[in-house]
Amino acid sequence: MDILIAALGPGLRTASPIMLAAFGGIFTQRAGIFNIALEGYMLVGAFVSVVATYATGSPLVGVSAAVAAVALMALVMAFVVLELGADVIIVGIAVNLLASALTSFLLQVITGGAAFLRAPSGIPDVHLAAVAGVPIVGDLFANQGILVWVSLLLVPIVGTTIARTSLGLRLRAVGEQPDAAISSGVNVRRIQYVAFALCGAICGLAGAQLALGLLSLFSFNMTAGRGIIAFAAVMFGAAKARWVAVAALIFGFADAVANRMQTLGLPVQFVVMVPYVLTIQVLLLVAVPWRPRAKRSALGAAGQT
Amino acid sequence: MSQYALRLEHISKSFGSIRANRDVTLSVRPGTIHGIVGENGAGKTTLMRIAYGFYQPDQGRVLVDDAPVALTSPRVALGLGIGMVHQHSLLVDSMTATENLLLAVPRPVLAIRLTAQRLRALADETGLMLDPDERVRDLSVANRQRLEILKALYHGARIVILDEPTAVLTPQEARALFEHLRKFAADGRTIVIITHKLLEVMDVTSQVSVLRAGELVYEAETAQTDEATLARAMVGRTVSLRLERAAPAPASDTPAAETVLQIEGLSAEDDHGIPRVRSVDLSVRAGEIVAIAAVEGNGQRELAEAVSGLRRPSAGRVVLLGHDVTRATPRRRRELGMRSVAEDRLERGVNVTATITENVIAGRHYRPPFARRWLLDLSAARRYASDLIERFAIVASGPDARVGTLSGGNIQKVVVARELADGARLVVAAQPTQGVDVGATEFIRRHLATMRAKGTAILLISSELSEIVDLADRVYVLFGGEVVAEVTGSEIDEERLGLLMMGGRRVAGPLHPPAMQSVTHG
Amino acid sequence: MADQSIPRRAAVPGAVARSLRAAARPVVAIVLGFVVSGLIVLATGKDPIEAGRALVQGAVGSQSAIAGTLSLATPLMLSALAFAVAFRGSMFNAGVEGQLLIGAFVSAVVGFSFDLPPILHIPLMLLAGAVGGAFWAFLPAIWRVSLRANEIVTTLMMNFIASALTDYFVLYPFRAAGQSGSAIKTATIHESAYLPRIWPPYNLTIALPIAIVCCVIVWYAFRRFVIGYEVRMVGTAPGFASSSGIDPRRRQVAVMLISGALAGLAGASQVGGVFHAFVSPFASNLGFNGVLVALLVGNGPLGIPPAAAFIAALQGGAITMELTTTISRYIVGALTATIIVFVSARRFGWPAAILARIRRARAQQTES
Repeated sequence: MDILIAALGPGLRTASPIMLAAFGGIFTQRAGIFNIALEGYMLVGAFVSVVATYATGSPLVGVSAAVAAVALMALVMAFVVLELGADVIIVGIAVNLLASALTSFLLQVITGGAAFLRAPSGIPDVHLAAVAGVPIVGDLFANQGILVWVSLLLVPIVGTTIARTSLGLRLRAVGEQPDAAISSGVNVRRIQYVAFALCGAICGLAGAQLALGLLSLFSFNMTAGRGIIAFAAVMFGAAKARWVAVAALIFGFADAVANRMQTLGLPVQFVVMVPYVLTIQVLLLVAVPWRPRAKRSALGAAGQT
Repeated sequence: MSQYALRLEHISKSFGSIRANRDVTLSVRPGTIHGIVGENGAGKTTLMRIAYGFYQPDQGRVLVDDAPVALTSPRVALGLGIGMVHQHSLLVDSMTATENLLLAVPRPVLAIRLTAQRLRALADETGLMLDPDERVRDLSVANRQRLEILKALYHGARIVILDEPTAVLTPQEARALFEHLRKFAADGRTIVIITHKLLEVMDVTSQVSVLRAGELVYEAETAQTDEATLARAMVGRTVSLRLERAAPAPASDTPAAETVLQIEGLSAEDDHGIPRVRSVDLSVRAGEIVAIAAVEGNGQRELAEAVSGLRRPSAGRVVLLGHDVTRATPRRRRELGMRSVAEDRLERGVNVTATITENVIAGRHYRPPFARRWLLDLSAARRYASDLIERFAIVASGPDARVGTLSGGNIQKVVVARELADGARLVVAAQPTQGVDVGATEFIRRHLATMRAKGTAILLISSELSEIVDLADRVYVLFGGEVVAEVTGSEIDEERLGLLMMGGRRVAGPLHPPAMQSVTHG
Repeated sequence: MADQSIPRRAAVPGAVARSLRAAARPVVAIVLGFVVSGLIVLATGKDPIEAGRALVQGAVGSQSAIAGTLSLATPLMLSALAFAVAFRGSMFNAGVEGQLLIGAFVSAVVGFSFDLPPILHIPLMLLAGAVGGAFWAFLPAIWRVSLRANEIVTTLMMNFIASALTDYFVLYPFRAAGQSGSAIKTATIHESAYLPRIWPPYNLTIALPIAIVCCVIVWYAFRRFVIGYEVRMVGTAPGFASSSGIDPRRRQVAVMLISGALAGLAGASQVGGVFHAFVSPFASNLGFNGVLVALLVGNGPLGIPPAAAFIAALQGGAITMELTTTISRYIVGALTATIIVFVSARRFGWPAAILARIRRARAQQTES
């Protein structure tokens, strides 16, 4: 129990980059793009944020640079997929490999062979003295970085964007029935580019939160599968902002609990598995054919989130 | 007022090697209902999709209100006041009617409530009743079409193009639709209606243009032409549109003829778990063509799939030649002599990426002469394919031609050749001539008739009532997944079937359509 | 129309032209990839020519380098074939990595638990690896066909589960006594399970010919076996297959079982031929690199051995290059990724695509 409570604050913190990357994934997923490149986006975001902060001394510049760079990277990927007709999954695999190789290569070039690059300063925390003493709430919220709050704020923002704005409507139409979208005068190509760009921008934020918000450094392959977990969270939550956030939080807490257990010398592997097992579970439950009604209402609810 | 609401000048359009439109010039006067007729594949839809900005012409230009316009996308067309109602409604299933409407509104923040109110008001005003908050997937086919019309009107369409609007409607629903169209035209809107049904043209249009093989071949004021002239123009020769009926198939008259297919209490659900077929009983005897008549979406698809083994029934039995095959695999059914011509030709009927050879051996590929144990005999397969190409007059470069490179009619001939070439005992033919050119249609119908004469049992599922009238010895009418009537022999006529297809059995009294009550939704 | 004499012969030149065209694509992509990564190297102030020379030297510059490259290529061939087989049957097996891990672990257990004559022990160990991998692929396959759960996602998740699971086994129940440090092993397998070397003294084992034979068998099976025909039909037109009496679900499960077995075999070959134990962390990314190899040659089984050798040469050569030129070996990853992007771009005439877009944009401008 103590382990669990002690994991609350760190859990929210570890969940935040996953949550952000998954929010990015919502936009591509809704536009019908199966984007497994979240991992690569996040890694490049982490790298750029640290390098830019290292160069300028300002975490703000670092975060902005990460957002811009990854959005651009996503647009290039969009070009390859949409204009050159490459398979999005294959390009996703290639982008993940490219991100890992290129950031590792450049890290060695910049540091002359070191295993990591430290940023002079990270993203500042928001200290909430008011709740510091309150049990659980205090553990959760008293000392969290700005981007943690941003990720929480994005839950309603992303949800409303998908459900109630013209952009959201078009994204869903493009993802579900592109012909219907075209017939309504929607520029499908443009919406897909927008989806990629938004996904990239938010994943850049995710990378910045991982590197600057949690550790203030960049190291080889530091995302270590978090992008894939974020992708799993998108699947888990059927691309609905609320449920994606819940998934990211569960996954983040599992991670934090695993870390605690490791320091106590307990076997952590079964906790590490939690996000993956849960995601498979949810996929199986959603897909079960003898519960077609449930599936239909789940899909129906997708329109309202 | 402009001279022409819509004018297409010297339009040509090709898709790969297929020339869909060839130098077509067409003018539509404002405030009229203009019919565009032609056979399947004559290029009607392509032409109108060009007018809606869906396709760009290779040559030629489009004028709206006498001014040339660049219709680079449907968005531009909508902006110019052109709306299109597609044959298979192009709506997003998971969204509500209102949300579908809002898709075409280029404003970042949406007034969902307000739009719903306006949609309701528009529905009241036009008499096209519809619940704005209902999700499209819950709407009936007729209501989806209604929504597409409302959508066009909502966005201020002055020119409304309807592509085969009655294909999915009962004759009674179709009549109600025509009433609305007349009213719109009277209000000064311009209506363009694509169809291949001549009765409709005579009924509702004021001008008519005929397309054949991508070219405009005939134009007239409807009042100054007649069905026979139009039919000649459509086909390019004098035709009797009817296949002359052979004397009623002898086998069906003798009660002794063997029952090949027996269906008892069959029920089936669709992919969403909604019951579509409810406790259907029917039988098909040797040497008999039995047709299923139903408006699209009344369970005929699920019924055909349950019979051919592609869908597991939720209740009931399917008996083929005395064998209970309710749970048998398609392979087992084929071995017993069942063949099926699938409705989704490109999905199920053929493999477009494979060669003709690979297509025609499917289903018998694992047995001699095409296979010895687990090894294929490719030369035997190729010989077989060459033989079928000749017998069925398939136009192709050879047995190694990929099916995707063939024309639509020839693709269907590949299907028919594969399914009907060897000793079929039962053929389940779903929409065998839909979207197929005249020549191939005639060929396929004749082939079915020949097989009947040879004693094959045929279950025909068709949305072409004329096809049913021409071919069937017996007709089961399916409504809401139930058999509501069985019609035989001389009682088979289009009007009667049309009424029954709408659930007319429940209407007491003589056979005339219930007053225009189809305007209510549901 | 149907000229009986033509088809058989006429098909041959067509086929040659097709395979030439198919081969041209990766070649062009590889050239472009080298240009791009050469420019990256140049931008960091190093000499790309020298880097290339060191790369080639390290990959094929000596007998031992060649043997090393081929040894590295062996598991790649099997994992690439694993991916390709599933892909042909319309299953995207993103879980080759996990199946390989499970196969490796199971084969290691068989390797150290039994003491048998080599003639029995080696096949048994390889078989165990194949069965382990097949089992790990079976679950996502059955989920896909019975519950319609997307196999890309489930296989991807199963990778992480496999990695955590084998980690646990090797750290706790199966940990060999007296180890510390970062690389943890199970007990060493018996020598009777060591794969025989085919080019002593180099560590190149019979796994290489086995892998090549597997590729040839799969190639032949796709063309001439009934099951191969069925899998191709399922892979290209599932609806057509099912209405022709070929149950796609059974074939999909079948290809996933074969795929998983090949992946497991890749893992077993590493245990029996290289590590002689299950080590954690296991050889990195063999599964994913296999996917890259398969993608490079468009999932053609006969293209896999040379493609695997090529990727292995890059990876082997990269280490030499790093030692002699101080250029980071990671550039090879970037090179590989670039090649994959170029290979997968179906529309190679992309300058034309850009022009078309510009023209379209202009048309829209003039009209408004």
